Amino acid sequence: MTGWRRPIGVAALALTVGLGGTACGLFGPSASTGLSPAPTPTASVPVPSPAASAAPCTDATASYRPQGPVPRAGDLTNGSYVQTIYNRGRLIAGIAQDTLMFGYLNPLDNQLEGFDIDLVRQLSQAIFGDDLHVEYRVITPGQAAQVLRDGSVDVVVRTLPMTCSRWQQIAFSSEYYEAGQRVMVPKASTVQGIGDLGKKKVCAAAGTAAMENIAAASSHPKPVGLTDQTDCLVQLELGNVDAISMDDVILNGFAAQDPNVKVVGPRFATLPYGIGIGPTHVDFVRYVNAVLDEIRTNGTWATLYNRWLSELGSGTPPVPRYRD
Amino acid sequence: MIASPPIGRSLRDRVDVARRRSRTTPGHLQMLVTLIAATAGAVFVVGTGTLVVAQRSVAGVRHATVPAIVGAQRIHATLADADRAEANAFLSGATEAAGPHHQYTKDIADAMRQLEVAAEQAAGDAAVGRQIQAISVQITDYTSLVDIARADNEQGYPVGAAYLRQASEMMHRPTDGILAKVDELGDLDAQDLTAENTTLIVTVGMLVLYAAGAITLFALLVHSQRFLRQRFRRRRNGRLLGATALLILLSATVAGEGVFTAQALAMAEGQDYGRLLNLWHIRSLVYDANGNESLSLIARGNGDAFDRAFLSNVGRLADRPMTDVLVDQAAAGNVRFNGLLADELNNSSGSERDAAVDILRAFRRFMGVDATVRARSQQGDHDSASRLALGAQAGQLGNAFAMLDGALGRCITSVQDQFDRTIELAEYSLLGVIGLQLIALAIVWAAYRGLKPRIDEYRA
Repeated sequence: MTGWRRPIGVAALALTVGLGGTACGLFGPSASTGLSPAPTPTASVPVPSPAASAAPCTDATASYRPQGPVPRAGDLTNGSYVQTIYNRGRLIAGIAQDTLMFGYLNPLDNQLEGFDIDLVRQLSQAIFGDDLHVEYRVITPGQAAQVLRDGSVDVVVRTLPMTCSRWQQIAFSSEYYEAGQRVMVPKASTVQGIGDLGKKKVCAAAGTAAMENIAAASSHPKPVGLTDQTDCLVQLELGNVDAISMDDVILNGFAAQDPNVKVVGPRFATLPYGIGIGPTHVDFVRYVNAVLDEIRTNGTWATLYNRWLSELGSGTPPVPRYRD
Repeated sequence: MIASPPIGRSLRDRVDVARRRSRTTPGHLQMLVTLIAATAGAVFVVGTGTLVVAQRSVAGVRHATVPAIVGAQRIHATLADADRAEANAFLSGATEAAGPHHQYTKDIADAMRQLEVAAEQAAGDAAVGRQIQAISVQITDYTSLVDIARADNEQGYPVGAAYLRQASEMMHRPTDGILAKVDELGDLDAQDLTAENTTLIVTVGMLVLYAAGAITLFALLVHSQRFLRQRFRRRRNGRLLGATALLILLSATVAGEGVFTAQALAMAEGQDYGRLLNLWHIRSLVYDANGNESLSLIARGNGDAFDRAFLSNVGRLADRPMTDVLVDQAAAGNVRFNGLLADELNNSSGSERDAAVDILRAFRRFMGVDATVRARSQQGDHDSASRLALGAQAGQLGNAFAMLDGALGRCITSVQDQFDRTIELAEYSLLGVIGLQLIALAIVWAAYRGLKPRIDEYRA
């Protein structure tokens, strides 16, 4: 455990992440499902029961279509879940505090920052008219479904990949960012990708899609699941695992914090991020999707992207897909 | 070549000669002088040897064994405090106040210094030496992780928190963590204490032998006095009486010293030593609890593991939530809870019990502020919870912690002083009684001087 070397300054981000080039991932051919490609606000779309989502999942990125433009703050439908949130006076959001660029606690000012955090603020802005009515609850990647199902949080906005298996437990908003899964190894390693990691210990956060993808890799690596994703970086530094494989945006964040590691190989799985919502709150999903549509179209998404993710290259918002 | 007579016959001859001689008055007197000298010599050797061994054991308990065991507890507490302080430093952010990190630095330096002292004290004990070396290496790894965490924190990197978690885990891991290793070091030292106590038990057995010798000597002196009275028509022999008085004095002193030393050791080892360990254990648990609370706050609502550890820590101090009623009942002598704090209350008396009650009141305040911190954290008001946890003003957790630690420190100092005084007295009184063993030689001299004139009467 000796000889650890630490970053003195911010290492240059590995700008190898391609955005939007992996339409077909593990979650099905997103362009061939016959789903409506764009939001078409309608006044009275019937709200499907949660059981409706139990239909076979062919596209994990397809969510519930918005029912119209975002209602003004304070002008919410009685009995809706968003009205419940409004009456409570705060939106409870499950977030990450260790994911650089997306959701992290900046030690310099003890403030939560990142793309996901700003998305939560946008939701607060839509519901309450300002971005201050938020209670942040830090959760681990593996806790997302549980805290949504038991109602401890209203939304989970923490680089949460949309998968068909998760759709069986919770609901998702439309996709707001598409990440991919890659591999991180020590700088001196000769590993070039997931294919070189047969029988090697590969770390990811427990209970995540990334973990499932490692287990499913044809090279048969040994998955090592840890509660917090940053623990994987520590274990890689300590030599207790051979590699990390998870969302490329998270890995790029690690690389920015640690000059002794590198991201290698191409994406071997796509990880489309959605906002997690309780499985019975379909009306709230539609509300959130309306907010996301607005964010995409009014330039807010691009502003947030440029603010937090510009180091990853240029980016465009994913086209929302709906299952009605 | 002349064949030597058979040995058996020679011995029998010698015994016959001695028997015949002892039937004569001068022969009997000479035999008594010889027996008195031999028995007194044996009493001197057994007494001196036993007391020297006992004195060495007591000195070992006082100067080496107990300081080593308590030292291990002190190292445990110091390292726990280092981890607590750094968690507080982290909680206060990259632009933290200097206090917590300075405390961490001081604690680590203190712990390393205490380990050096322990290594010097254990020179020649390979097992202890290896254990201390292993602990030192782990502390170096621990501080490296903390350095990385701090470097990340100062650069605004969130991964620093993961390094801090890893460091804290390395400190607290149940089986091979640093604190577990320090406890093992204490266990090794405790084996030495067991050996010292076994030696002291053996010396009690030797004192039985000593008593047998003293009784025999007393019988010889009484027989000599009676013999002189019968044969020489003298009512009493002053020197023999003096020798008998000296023997009684010596025996009484040794017996008294044995009782005193046993009582002193029972007091020092059975009460003060146990309380000392208990108090250090309480202090370590308080440090751990405070550190776990800070780590939980750093996790911002995702610190279930640290919360469980906190509850485990305080649960060992008191097995139920501390209330003002419980505190008042305990102060009145009715301790209605279990745990280490209850043990301390039950084992102390007088002013020390007052000090124990002070600890309990400080613990009650600490838990009261802790409840407020947790309530704010659960409401999502993490910034306010953190400020309350770190604040040193009255009513804030930092202040409550300092008062609790201060109360513990005062109690530990008091009990340590009492232990030192008690066992020091036992050690020095044993030294004095060792010197008194020279009285056995005076007994021989007095007996010889008392019998010699009568022997000389026959020679003349």
